[in-house]
Amino acid sequence: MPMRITNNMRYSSIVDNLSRAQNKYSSLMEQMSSQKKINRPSDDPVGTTRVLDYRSVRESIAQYDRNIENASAWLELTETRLENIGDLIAEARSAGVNNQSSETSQILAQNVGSLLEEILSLANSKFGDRYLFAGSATEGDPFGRIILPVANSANAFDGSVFSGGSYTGTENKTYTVRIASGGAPGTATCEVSEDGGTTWSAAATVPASGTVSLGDGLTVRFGDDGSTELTAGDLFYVNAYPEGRTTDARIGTPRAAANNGFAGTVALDASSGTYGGDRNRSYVVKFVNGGGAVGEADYRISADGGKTWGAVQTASWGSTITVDDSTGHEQVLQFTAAGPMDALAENDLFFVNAYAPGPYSGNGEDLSVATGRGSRMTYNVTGEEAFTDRGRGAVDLFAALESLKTALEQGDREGANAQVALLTTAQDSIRQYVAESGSRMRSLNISKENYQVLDNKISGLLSETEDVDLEKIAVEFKMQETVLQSSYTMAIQIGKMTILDYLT
Amino acid sequence: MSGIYQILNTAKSAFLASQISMEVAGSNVANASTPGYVRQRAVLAATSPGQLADNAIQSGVEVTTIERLYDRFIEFQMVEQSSQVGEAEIRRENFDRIEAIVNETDGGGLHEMLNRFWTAWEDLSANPTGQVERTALANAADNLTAMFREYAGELGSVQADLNVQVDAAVTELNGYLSDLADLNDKIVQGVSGGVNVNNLQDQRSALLKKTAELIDIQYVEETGGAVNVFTADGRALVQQGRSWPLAVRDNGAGFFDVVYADNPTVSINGDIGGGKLSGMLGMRDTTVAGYLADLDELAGTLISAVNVQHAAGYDTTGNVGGAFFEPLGATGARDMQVSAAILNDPNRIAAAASVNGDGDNARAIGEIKDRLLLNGGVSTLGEFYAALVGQIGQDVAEAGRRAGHEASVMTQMTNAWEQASGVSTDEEMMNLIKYQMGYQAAAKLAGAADEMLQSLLELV
Repeated sequence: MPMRITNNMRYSSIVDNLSRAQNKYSSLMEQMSSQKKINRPSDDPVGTTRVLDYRSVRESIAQYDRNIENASAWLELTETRLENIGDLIAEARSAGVNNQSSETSQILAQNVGSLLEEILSLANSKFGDRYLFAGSATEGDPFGRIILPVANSANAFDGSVFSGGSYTGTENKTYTVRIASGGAPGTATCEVSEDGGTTWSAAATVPASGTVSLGDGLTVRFGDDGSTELTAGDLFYVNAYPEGRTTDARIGTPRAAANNGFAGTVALDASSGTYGGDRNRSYVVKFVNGGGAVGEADYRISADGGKTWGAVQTASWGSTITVDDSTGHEQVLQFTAAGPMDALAENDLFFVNAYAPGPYSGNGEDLSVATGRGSRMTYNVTGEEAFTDRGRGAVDLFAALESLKTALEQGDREGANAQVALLTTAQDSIRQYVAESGSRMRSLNISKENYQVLDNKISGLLSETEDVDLEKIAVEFKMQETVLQSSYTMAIQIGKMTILDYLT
Repeated sequence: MSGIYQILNTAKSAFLASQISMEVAGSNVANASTPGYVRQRAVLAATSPGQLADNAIQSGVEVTTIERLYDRFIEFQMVEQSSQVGEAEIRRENFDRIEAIVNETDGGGLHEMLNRFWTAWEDLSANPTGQVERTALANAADNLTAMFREYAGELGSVQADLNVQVDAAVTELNGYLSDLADLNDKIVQGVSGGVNVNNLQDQRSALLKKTAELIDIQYVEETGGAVNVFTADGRALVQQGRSWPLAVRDNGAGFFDVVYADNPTVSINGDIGGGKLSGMLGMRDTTVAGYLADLDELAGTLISAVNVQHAAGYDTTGNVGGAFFEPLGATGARDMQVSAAILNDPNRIAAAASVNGDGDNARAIGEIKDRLLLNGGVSTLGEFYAALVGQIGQDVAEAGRRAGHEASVMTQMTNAWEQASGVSTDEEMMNLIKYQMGYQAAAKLAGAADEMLQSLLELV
């Protein structure tokens, strides 16, 4: 039997063919107008996944690029500041090497003083609202004017001398300490002058602790690290500045985190000794379980600002916690409850900064950003390494400048020369950091260029996956248009072909 | 007695047969476009001469029956195929909707929000005390959680809509079942009373297809004319004049189970293997539920990874990092949000790894984007999501292909059905000409007999 073609078959096949042609046409039209091959995930599921992955990669590259920009800008500013400081040190050196009359020395001393101020403000430079040379510390200027006891170059005593206490005077003042009779602290006696050596206080015994009070809250401490004891006639000059920083190791004010459950106060206990560490540190106490009143809860201690923690201490701690138990240098925090229900909560946090000798109040932490998957770049130079005796040059820049200034003021030529030698070392070390910053910037630039190449490659792949080939699509579109037109013509023709036209 | 009157009788039977045949052709032409109309044909047979006279040599013509021209086998296949088409169609419709939810091709979706979230952490690590960076991060995180909630909510509403459709489909199905039972009654009565039931049979065929579009069925035609309908696993839905309606029951998880109305505690979801109902149940309970589970896994992994790392850091005022995402017990996308404390005060973001102002914890959180946390340690969060979108795309494309395929199989079957049962007006026109000529020939015959009678009468 031959195939019967019924009316419905004829019409439905026309309709099917027309809608097929129209679908193809509108899909091409969509691609033409969006310029994309993939307009929904089902257009190319594998391609869609790839497109999303490529986009993530590009997003990461853009991020690394931005990180590199930030780090480069930081390094560039670091480089400039260090170069400026190096130049200023050179000026200070040339002031120091002049063997001039005492009047000229005074002028040179003033000159060094103002260079010191300038260097100080450069060392406290900020990038945005962050200090360039403070490590990760955020509280206040990393450097300040120092109140430095400067030993006369003719002294027999060669141990270290620190200033301590806090100067309450409102004007700059020069104290002179003269050893009246020699010996170890506890035996030796000294006199103090507040007017440049014109009048002297009565000789008093240097206490066994080595700490002598100068007045206005200021003290000096003679260290026991010298090879010679204090000798009669030894002279020490201390320039005191309001707001100046003393150089002995010190401990900051303990603080509580803002959202602690504990509402009482925390303070440094009177039993605390001087800080004995050689670097600035943040001690943190964290309570690991809540509900305990003062004297009950368990805690851990961190000596690195909360990055790593010691074991949980469950022993009853009274109301004091020793955060550093090195003999003679114990750091003890005293907790005082404000009310009977002053319970400590889990994660209550208390911290205290301890500063090694010297004026630096930043820390030695590196700042780094991700410059690639799993790779980081440290972009800061800490003030500790650049300007203190804990750095590569092993010279405390500000102490050297202050000593130079004092030596010039006091006409101590030998002393001045000794400081000039130190400044040369400091300048060399700063030059090294300048060079290092430059080389870090270069390596960041290389990464940046590599990322540029990678990004071009990925965006090429991305475009290949999701963008239309315009010429190809235009030709296809034209072809499909023709197909659709001829389908319409056909549809009309087929409707005309019927036997009814021939029946009379 | 053979004679002239006999000739007239023969002519009369020919008139009648031609008329009926033309009526049938007319009805065919009239219903050429009626869906489900099966073309009919008057079956002609020569009348036995014995009925006219003992020695008659002539025989007339009679219409023995009006035949429905259809192929039982094709009919059967079409009913089966209706279930396939129904299921494929439901899947395609809903997949289109799902695809629109996760359409990431233009950006602005979850994937981009996720990237922005990581970027914001990295930016914060480069400037840990920056208020701008902190606020930007809080916003990015808020947008990300909003996007998670939106996606989960949209998928949930697809499920809820499917659930409502299940109920509506059961109601519709029950209507068909009772109509089928009614038609069975009428057809059985008609057949036994010798009445033409062709139209009723057309209606029943259409109903069987509509029923099969909703649920996969088997059916058997009894000799008496009734059709019995069963589910795929053999439970009766219609038997002669009786139907067994289905019903829905809350399954305790907020969704409907399909049950027999007379056995309302036993779910028959698992027995439904085709038709729209099967499509709806499968989409609701497997497909969409699966996507939601993937989205929840992504959200849960993100929440726990970020919260754990966040708790290892410190905010600007020295507090230990609290939960970044809330609520704490949440592992799902649906109720994920950024901690209210952080939204109120972005300084609570724990960017530092120590109580000082470093950005190392922000960087550590930023690096979670590269951690292989999913699929047993082979995929990052971003890759997992990209793969989910790809999977959905694949499923959508597959559903589209299947719907197209099932529809074209149906088209082929419809063509086969049309070949057997459809009306061709050309053919009917030719038939009309044939019957018209038969009618004219019979008229000639009657005319000849009349002349013969006239001649006889003139003899008198």
